[in-house]
Amino acid sequence: MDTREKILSWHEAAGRIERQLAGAPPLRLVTGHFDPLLVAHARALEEIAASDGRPAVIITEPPDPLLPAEARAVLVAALAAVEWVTLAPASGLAELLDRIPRTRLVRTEADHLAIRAEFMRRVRARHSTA
Amino acid sequence: MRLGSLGDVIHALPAVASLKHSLPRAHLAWLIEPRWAPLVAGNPFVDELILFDRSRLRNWIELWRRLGAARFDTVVDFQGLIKSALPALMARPERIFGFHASQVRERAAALAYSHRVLARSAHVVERNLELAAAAGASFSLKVFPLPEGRPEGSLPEGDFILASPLGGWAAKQWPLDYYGELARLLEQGPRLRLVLNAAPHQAAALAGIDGVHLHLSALEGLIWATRRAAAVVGIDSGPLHLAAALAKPGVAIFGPTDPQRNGPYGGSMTVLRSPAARTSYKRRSRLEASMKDITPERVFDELMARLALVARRPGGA
Repeated sequence: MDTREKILSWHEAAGRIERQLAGAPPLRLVTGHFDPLLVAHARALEEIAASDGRPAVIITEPPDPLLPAEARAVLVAALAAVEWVTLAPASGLAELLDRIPRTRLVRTEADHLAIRAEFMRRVRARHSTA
Repeated sequence: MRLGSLGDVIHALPAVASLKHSLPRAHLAWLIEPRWAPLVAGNPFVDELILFDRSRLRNWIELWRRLGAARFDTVVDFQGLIKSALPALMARPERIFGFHASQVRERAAALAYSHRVLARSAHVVERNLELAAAAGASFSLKVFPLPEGRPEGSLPEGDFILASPLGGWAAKQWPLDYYGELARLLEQGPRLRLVLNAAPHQAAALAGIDGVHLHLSALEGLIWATRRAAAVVGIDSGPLHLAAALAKPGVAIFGPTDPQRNGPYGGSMTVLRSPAARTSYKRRSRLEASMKDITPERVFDELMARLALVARRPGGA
């Protein structure tokens, strides 16, 4: 399939989440920056998919992003381990996430900032030795 | 630098995404002819589109001023023609990356490059990724961010098969009367309509083919129709590579060009090529005899096999 079809509008994504809260088969939800998408992110998503089925991903906005959210969504959607992807809305995300059982939600923003810092450190080291 | 055309711009998309992903703080500009710009419009990996219509002298002067003022550090020429190498020089960057002289269509273009890359891969998508890697891309992303397109012309209500018979030069085309026969087989068997896409000015060339549905559109209409097609039948031309980038199932009919190098990328299509075909990139204006060896019946059978594969997959296409 064209993996970009896995990128949903927030309206459609929120509808799916609401249906699950109302009793549809549960889905694991992952929020994260994926800025940029690295092997560590892909492995983490594969582990979730292997243990609990393919997760849905909400792309959140880090401070001072490296890549546009749309570019990150294209890359995350290309991963076979992901069910669908959406971009976090400007408002209302926290309220919706508060209603999701903790066992169904994985928030990775803090980890992703650490991964990004390490990535940038490596990039700078590469450039300084080039 | 990748000024055109349809298939070639599509084949450069993964390399450009890889460059931006690896160098996210870099400003990435793409020099492209205006007619192909809809392919890259809204691409989240591209910061700036520089449209260049090289048919007018004053556009060259304007481009020289604009590129000179922009102060680019690096230029990557994916095209390998003099018309792309000249703008690369006009940008006066610190480094110009391009393919080795043995791998460009116009060898003189390679004289413009400070870094000449001898690609090892066969397929042009992989070669472009190699060039991007040489220019600093530490990741190889095989993604094709393409726009949605927009509705244009008429399409059938239900599922349909899409073909663009007039793409590419004449030697690469499939006999036009074969499309009529294929339409009859599709109608009698799975009751699928065969839609033939062409630009509006090409309508007369397809007017005499029985049983097909004509879809006349510009580029954005073609993208829209391709997204909606159940499958495609293609020849080595831009519309086929567009469908492959969108992971559409289908059948690709090849004659003089080498599918190892220019075939549909990504494995969603079956490639048919006559054993009698001889590889040549001369832009001949006559139909290649080997293209006639691929019969409508064979294309139909392979198309049905592809559609059956898709249907067996969880979730279908």
